[in-house]
Order: sequence, then C-alpha cells, then structure tokens
Amino acid sequence: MASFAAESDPAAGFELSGRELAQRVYDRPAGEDMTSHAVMELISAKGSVRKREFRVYGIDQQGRRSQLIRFTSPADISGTGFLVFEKGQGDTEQFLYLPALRRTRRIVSSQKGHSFVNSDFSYEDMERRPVDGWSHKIVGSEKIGPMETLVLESRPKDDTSSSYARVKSWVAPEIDMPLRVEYYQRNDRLVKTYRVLSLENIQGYWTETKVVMEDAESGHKTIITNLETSYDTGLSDDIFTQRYLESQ
Amino acid sequence: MDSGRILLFDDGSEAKPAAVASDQPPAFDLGGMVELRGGTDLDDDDFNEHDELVRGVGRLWLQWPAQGMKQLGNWRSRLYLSVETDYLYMGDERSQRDFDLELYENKLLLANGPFEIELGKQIVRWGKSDQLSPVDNVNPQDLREFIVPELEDRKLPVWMARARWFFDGWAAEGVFIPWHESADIDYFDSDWGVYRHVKGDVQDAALPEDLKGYLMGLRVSENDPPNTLKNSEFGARLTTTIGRWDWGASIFYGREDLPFFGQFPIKNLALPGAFSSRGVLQALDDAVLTDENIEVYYPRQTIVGLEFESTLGVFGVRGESAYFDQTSFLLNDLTSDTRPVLHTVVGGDYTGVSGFYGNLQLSHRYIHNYDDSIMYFDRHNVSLLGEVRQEGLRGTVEGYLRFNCDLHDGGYYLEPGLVYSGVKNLDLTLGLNIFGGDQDTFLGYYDDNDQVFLKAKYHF
Repeated sequence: MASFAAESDPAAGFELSGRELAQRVYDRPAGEDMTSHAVMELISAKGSVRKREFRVYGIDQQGRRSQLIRFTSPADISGTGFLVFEKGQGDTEQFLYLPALRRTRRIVSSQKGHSFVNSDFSYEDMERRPVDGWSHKIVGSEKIGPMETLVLESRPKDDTSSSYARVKSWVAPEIDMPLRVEYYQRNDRLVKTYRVLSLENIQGYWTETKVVMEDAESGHKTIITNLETSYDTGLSDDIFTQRYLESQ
Repeated sequence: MDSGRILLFDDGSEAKPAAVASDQPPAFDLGGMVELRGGTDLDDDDFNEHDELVRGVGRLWLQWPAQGMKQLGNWRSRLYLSVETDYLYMGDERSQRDFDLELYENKLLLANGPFEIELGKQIVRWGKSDQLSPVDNVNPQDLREFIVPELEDRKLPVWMARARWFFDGWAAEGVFIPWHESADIDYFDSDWGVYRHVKGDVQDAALPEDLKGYLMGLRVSENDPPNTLKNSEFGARLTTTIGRWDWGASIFYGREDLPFFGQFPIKNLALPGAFSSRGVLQALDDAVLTDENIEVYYPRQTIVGLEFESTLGVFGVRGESAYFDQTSFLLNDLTSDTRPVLHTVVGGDYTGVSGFYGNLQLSHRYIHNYDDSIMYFDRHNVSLLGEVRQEGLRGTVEGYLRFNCDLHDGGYYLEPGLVYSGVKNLDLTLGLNIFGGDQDTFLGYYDDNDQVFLKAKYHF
C-alpha cells in the first residue's frame, strides 16, 4: 500500500494512503440532500459562449446517492431531465426525459465517456469514482491558491470500465475535495483538466461554486457556476422517481 | 477550516452569468415554438400533383406555476394552457390551404400523495418503441402528410380524464375519452389523400360529360359516433420495473382513428392492388354507378398491449406488441373490412462517445384471415426502421438518416438530412423525403412525393 508520509510534506501534517484519500473524497459529506441552481457555459476556443441553466437535486439514501438534473434554459432544451441512481460498485441506472418525446427513456450507463449535453463533462465525470475499482497512489503535494493539496494518482483496475487510463487529482485533505483533476487516456495523453475556481462553505458543507473543465486539445471549456445551493432541506424521495422526472 | 469563501483561480468577480436575470422563479412560465417548412418535389411525376409545400406551425403555451405545483387544499395543482396555429399549403390550382387556430394541450393536473388526475385536452404517450408504436393509440394523428412529420408532431391532443396511482414501484393508469376524435386525413386533392387527385385526373380525362360530372361529384360522409357516454373510449395501463427491466401492460377500448369505408358508390370495382385514377377509370366498364355517398365510419376496437425497455451492455433495448381485435383495411372494391392484427416492434439503440446515435427496430404486422382483396398489405408485413445520427462541432451540426424499409414488399421511406443548431433556440434542417417501391405497397404508393425540404424550428 503506497502512503504519503508527513515527513515528505510537512504541509499535509498527517500520514494517509492513496486509497484512504480516495475513500475520503468518495465519502465527502454532501448533506442528506442538496438542491442547487446552476449555469453551464460552453465556451469555444474562439470565445463563443452557449449557456444552459439547470437545477440539481441530490439525495443520499443509505450511502447511495441519487441525482436529478432539470434543464430550465434555453427554451429548446427546457424541461429535459436526467435521473441517476447509484447502484454500488460504480454502477448506475440512468433515465432521460425529453419533453418532445413525452416519455422517459432508460439509457445506457456504461457509455461513461459520452459527453454530457455536449459539454466538456462526460457522464463519468458527473459520477463519484468507485474507490475499489481503481488503484490509488499519492505522488506528491502542491499548493493551489491558499490550499495545501495532495496529488493523488488513480488508475482503473482491469475489470473497471472507464474512458481514462489515469486520473491525477489535487485533493485538499482538509476538506477532501479535488481542486484540480487531470484526465489522461492511453499513451498518457492529457485530454482535459478540471479546476475548482471557487468554493464556499455552505451550511457546513464545502461546495464548489464555480468549476471549469477544459479540453486539452481543442481549447473548448465548460464552466459551471452554482448560483444557489442549499443542503438538508428535507427533499422528498418522490423527487427521485420517473414520475417526478416526467413532471415538468 | 470551518467557513468562508475561497477563490482559487477565479478573477473574483461576483457577477452571475448574463443569462440569469434572477434566482427567483417567475409566477408562470410562458413559452412556445414556431416551425416553418417549405418543400418542393424532386420530380414532376404527374400532371395532377402538388409540387410544392409550405407548412407553418406555431404554439404558445403557459404553465402555472412555473415550477413545482400550487397547493389547492389537500391537492397540489398545475395548469397548462396552449394554442396552436397550423397552416398547410400545397401548391397549384387544386391546392389545399388549411389554416387552423385551435386549443392545443390544455390541462389541469391535480396530485394528492400517490394519486394524480389530469383533466383537459392532452396527449398521452404509451409504449416504448420509437416512431412506430403499436401500443400508443390513445391520441389520433394528423396524417395529412402521412408519416413525413415525426410521430410526436403528428399526435393530436384530445379531451380526456387521466388518473394515475403510484404504489410500491408500480403505476396504474386509467384514461377516459368522452368523445371520439378521428385522425386528420385528406380524401381528395392531396398527394397524401386516400383518393389523391382522382377528381383532377377525371377532369382532364376524355370521358363523357355526364360520367365526369358523376365522378367529380363523389362525396365523403363521415359518420362520427354521437357524443354519448355509450360511445366513449377508455383504457388502462399498468407499469413497473423488475430488476432493470421496465414493463407495461395496457388495454384500450376505443374506436379506430382511421376511416372504415362502409360504402362506395361505384360497385363491382376490382382494383389491382392499389388505388389509382387510371385503375378506377379502367375498371368503370364493369362497374355499376349509384347515387350513394362514400360512407365512412369509425368502428369499435379493443387493443391489448405489452411493452418493455431495458439496457444490455452498451445497447438500449425496447419493444412492444399489440393485439387489435379488428383493424380496417381498404379492399380492392374501395370498401373496408376488418381483420384482427398482431403488431410487434422490437429494437435497440446505441449511443457512441463521439456523437453517434443509431436506432434499429424490426416491425412485424400479422393480419389474421388475410385475403388478396386487401390492398397495400400482405399477411406478414415485416419492416426495418430506425435512424442514425452523427453530431459534430458539439451538437452544432448533425447529419441524420431516418428510414423505414419493408422487407417483404420492397417499399421504403428514407429521410436523410442535415441540421444546423448554431443559433440559440433555432434548428435549421435541410433534408429529403424519399419514397420508393411498387405502387401497390404501403410506402411505394407515395413514390411520386419525393421532396427536398428546408425547415426552421425556433423555440422561445
């Protein structure tokens, strides 16, 4: 088991294995439930911007998280809903509601590399990475802004389905949040980089309030800005159902 | 570290993205769409045909409240109102110029715990398969352009009450339609009509004037059932998920949306497999002309359906099967008769990581008690239908091909197209509608209607 000792980076201040750090990231508290209002900006390398506005509802049901994303703007995708249930071991069930079709479609969850609504985020990027499906190693430490981070390198195990060959995360151990993530495909080719631009403690939960995912090759990037987030409001389980998904 | 806001890479600006005016949702949501489509035939196949088409559809809708539901006593409620304008123009002197301004979907949703009731004019979607859905029979369709518009755009809202009960992973649904609404179709003077341009062809033919007058005077009498409780339609559907398989079973006791031709004034006709002006004129020698009208009815019909959907590996799979106790078919004497029909559609789709989407479905329609007097169809009608799409430039452009190929009789429909979505809320489509096959096949019958079209769809 690889470990990162405090002696090699006094800033970390404690001893931690890669797996333990990955587990802490996985278990980072996100409340019993969460509601968020966000804007996604798709920005081309030439600077043209397309905006999408959506609401996110999340709930933790005995350690398994479910999430509903409902787009509210622009008009041509307004009402589109995306529902995800974690089933354990990185497995999910996913449903898509398109108002034009007037019905919910069960969609394949194994195509994790597919772009989420043409953004730089893939479906895989929107999910928590199952800890045991990957091997983890701490390879260093760096300071990002005012935050000390440990650099965590994760590689998928043979039986793990992923579109990445390696993921390098800069995790702030104080809050168990990755502040920067680099995604590599085969031949160690960097494909995109995720960065947290700002974060905020909301109701005791550290929350990314602005993040960016940038394509390393095309220069295209996607910025998600959380306009409003609240936790532990007592969201009903009923929200995380096909019935609610179809109820615009 | 317990509290605060931390900027890591940001410029520190507190400004929200410009698209967001306010975090407070409005009291109601107002929106709509406008779709304009113009097309022209690829070939001038026939003297009496429409070479051009213009269609404009606009919808304006209002939803109150904009988000969530409004409490009304113990019930939560939401109101949805919409109107539609629909203009359809098909060129030349015998053109059709249809203009409608009417209520589209207008419904009130009431919910209380596991119960939901929706009252009003609405569209209900049953079934899982795409574009061809044997189970989906609650609403009639606008077939004035046959299957050229997509299924979702063809469906017509009808007045109904819909109730649903959600319990233990199951959903039970009931619909009640107080009065019957038939499909929108044209009988005469349309490339897509039942009798197409027979009157124009008669006008141009070298026929005795009294015979011309007789044929030009053919009329259709639509005998809609009286709006009584006895003639209402109703259905039920039960859905659930077992493992990762979504299942549904339904029964619908309604009336046929397509016409049953109970009577045709020209007797002793025996057309060779398909309607055509030439076929009718050639068959007149042995025919007996009467002064009856073409009488159209909408017989009772019971439909029992099963549907499923799941995922297998990287494929989505879905299908449905429906048994119709009687379905009307046009016979070669231009009257109708009914037969039981079993129609099954199964298929799957695949979404690639590079913006590719493929959907392939196999349809099998079996006509019980088949005989050769039935036009356009065989006992077994097997077709392959679906679509392939490839996105580019992050969804800004898309090439696609929709297809429907009858494997038994060789009839086919192809719609290749290119969509540009680079302007916010606007989709521009340039495409072709191509029909092929023998004239006595369901799809080949429209072989003369190949068209190139340009469509603009704007959402607001």
